[in-house]
Amino acid sequence: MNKVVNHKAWFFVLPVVLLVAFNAIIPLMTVVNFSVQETFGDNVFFWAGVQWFEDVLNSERFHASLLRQILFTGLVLVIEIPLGLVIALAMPRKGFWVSVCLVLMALPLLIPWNVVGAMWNIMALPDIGLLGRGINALGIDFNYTRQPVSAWFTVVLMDVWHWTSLVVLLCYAGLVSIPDAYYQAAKIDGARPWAVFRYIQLPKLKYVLTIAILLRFMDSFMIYTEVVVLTGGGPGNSTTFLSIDLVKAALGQFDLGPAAAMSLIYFLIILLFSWLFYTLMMRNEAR
Amino acid sequence: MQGTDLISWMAWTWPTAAFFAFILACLVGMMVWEIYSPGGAPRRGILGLDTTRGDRLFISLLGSAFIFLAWLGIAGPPLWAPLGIAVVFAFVVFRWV
Amino acid sequence: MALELRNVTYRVGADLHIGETNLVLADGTFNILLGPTLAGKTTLMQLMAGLIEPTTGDLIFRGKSVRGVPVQKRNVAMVYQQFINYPNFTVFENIASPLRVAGMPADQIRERVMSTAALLRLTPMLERRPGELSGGQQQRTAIARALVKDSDLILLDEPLANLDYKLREELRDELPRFFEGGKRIVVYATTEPTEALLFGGNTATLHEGRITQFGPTEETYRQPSDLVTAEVFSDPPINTAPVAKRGGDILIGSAIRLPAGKNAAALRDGDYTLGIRPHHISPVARDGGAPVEGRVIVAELSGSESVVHFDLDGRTWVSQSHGIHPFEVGSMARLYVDMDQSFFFDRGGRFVAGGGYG
Repeated sequence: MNKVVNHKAWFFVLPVVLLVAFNAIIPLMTVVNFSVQETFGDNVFFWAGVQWFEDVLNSERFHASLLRQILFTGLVLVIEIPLGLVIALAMPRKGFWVSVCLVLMALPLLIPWNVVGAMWNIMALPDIGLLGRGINALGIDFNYTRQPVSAWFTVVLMDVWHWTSLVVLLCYAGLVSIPDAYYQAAKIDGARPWAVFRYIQLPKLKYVLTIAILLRFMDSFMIYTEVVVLTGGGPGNSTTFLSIDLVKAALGQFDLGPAAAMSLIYFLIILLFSWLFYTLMMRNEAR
Repeated sequence: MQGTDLISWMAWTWPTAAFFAFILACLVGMMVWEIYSPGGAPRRGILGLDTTRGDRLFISLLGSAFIFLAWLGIAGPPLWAPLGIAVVFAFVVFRWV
Repeated sequence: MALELRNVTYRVGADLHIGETNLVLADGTFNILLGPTLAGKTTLMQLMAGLIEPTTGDLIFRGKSVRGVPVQKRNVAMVYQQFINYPNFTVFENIASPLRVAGMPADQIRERVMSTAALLRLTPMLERRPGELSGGQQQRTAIARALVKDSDLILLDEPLANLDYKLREELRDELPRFFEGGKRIVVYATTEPTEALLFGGNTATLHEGRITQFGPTEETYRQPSDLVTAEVFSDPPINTAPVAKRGGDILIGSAIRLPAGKNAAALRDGDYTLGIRPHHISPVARDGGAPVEGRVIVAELSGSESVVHFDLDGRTWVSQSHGIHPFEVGSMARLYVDMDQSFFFDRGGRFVAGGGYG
């Protein structure tokens, strides 16, 4: 087959290339440069080699926040993806209630992240918050400012409340795009609801679910604002996730070098997981 | 402050500049390779993945990064051994994956 | 007698989707539902399948009413305009799926699938998934799924409409062969009169939720019982004009005078609607061709056919003829109407004379 070679096409991607260069590649290069140097401010740098990487990789603190991060992201994915799918399946496909449901679902996504944190902060307060008081009224000792378990519960619940909608909306869009004829054909075959889900809806939702998982993975892996507003990473360090730890190191202690090394490691982890997800989920399609 | 302001805030060093030059050289090299000897179309490798040459470069680089990090975390510098491992890894990826 | 629709109507709210319909489809026949988009073909098929229940009336299958019998117990199969297959099953598993649901033993399934796949020329693709097939192959798979389970009724809802030209021609030529023999009733919906003529069998013409005529395809084509049927079953659309018969002449407006021809010879003088199919108006003078003149609006050549749209007394008429006959847009064209092939309808649209040509 002869390919038509036309280099004019490159001009059309030029704006994107420039945009990516300025907001991704140049900052990334700068971070790489920082990660091998020591600075005391004033733009004066000293060569430090791979010292920071070694430090970060061997630091208990980094291990602990990485572990917390993985646990948190795992929990969030395990809850939000199935829950979002179930809600999307239960939503009506036509009629008046469609728009009501869609608006209700979109609401949490419209609230700024710091507001979400503040809302849940107040809501979960054990003395005046609706949720906090409610749980305590059930006879359970609940105080997210003192107990790590309560803090985790609140943080995960907040994320589920905030982001399950995204999964719902993505899945719903995917479900609506399945032609009616598929359901009719399944009906004629005498397929049960489970079979319809397993052999028609799920395969048709594959791309959408891949995107939902990727988005939720990356977003929850980088979660910062809501948790900082809600718990500030505490009590103790119990909800200090990677990004919170990173900011504490970079801004709190002005350790630019170690913070840069840490963000690069962080970046590589996200890159690896995203690639793994994407590849694994697209693999069957290619067969 | 040394150099121009535009460059100095990025805090360039020779090793990092060399690192990025290497990445750029890889990309240019891939392009030249594809022009003179096309064959970058997806193929099925030992992992059962359909990969193009670009995918294999990505896997090699990402894998190498983790090889270096692992060595650094477990054994520490010098980094000649992981460099060797990374080169072998990249060769394996390009040959068989 | 096999499938009978008795006084069937279908309403959604206040909208009448299917007007009162009586239809008898005999065992082992190929039946075509011909009508424009939204004429009610799909709704009628869903009624036949049992996917929707008629608002009034009854469905009789082999002597027994099947009203209220759920679709999965009726032994029907349906093929859609979209290529409906299970996306993550191989072609083999797709074809086997209705049999697996029915609980057939594996060796029998294998045998049935292999023979059906051979009939549809799918044997080399059995291990592939629908996503890796061409549109034509995907639709073959869907047809195989419909055929494999020996249904009593197979419904094909514009199965070729989404295929590109070459694949459509190919599958169209083969399609009748797939359904040869057996007692099963085949119903095939299409918007294209040419498809109906190609397949033969019986044709029911549909217009706005009503069956206007049902009978052997050739007969429906040659002897349309009313103007609407003639309009539905003609591509390009049949040319019509209100006319008056005065003795041996047919008058269109005041200026155009045509001979009555043999079809109208016995008609009483009076007002009628004349219908004449585009391929009976020729740019070449022939025996019995009555000349008319009109201004050319559109002239197109498609392959070895010439199509001319021209203005006749304020109406747009179309002539379709073999051979290359160039016309200049805007010029006056002289064309010859074969009045022996004309149809006459009364002003209520009922057929009174005409047709019968070969």
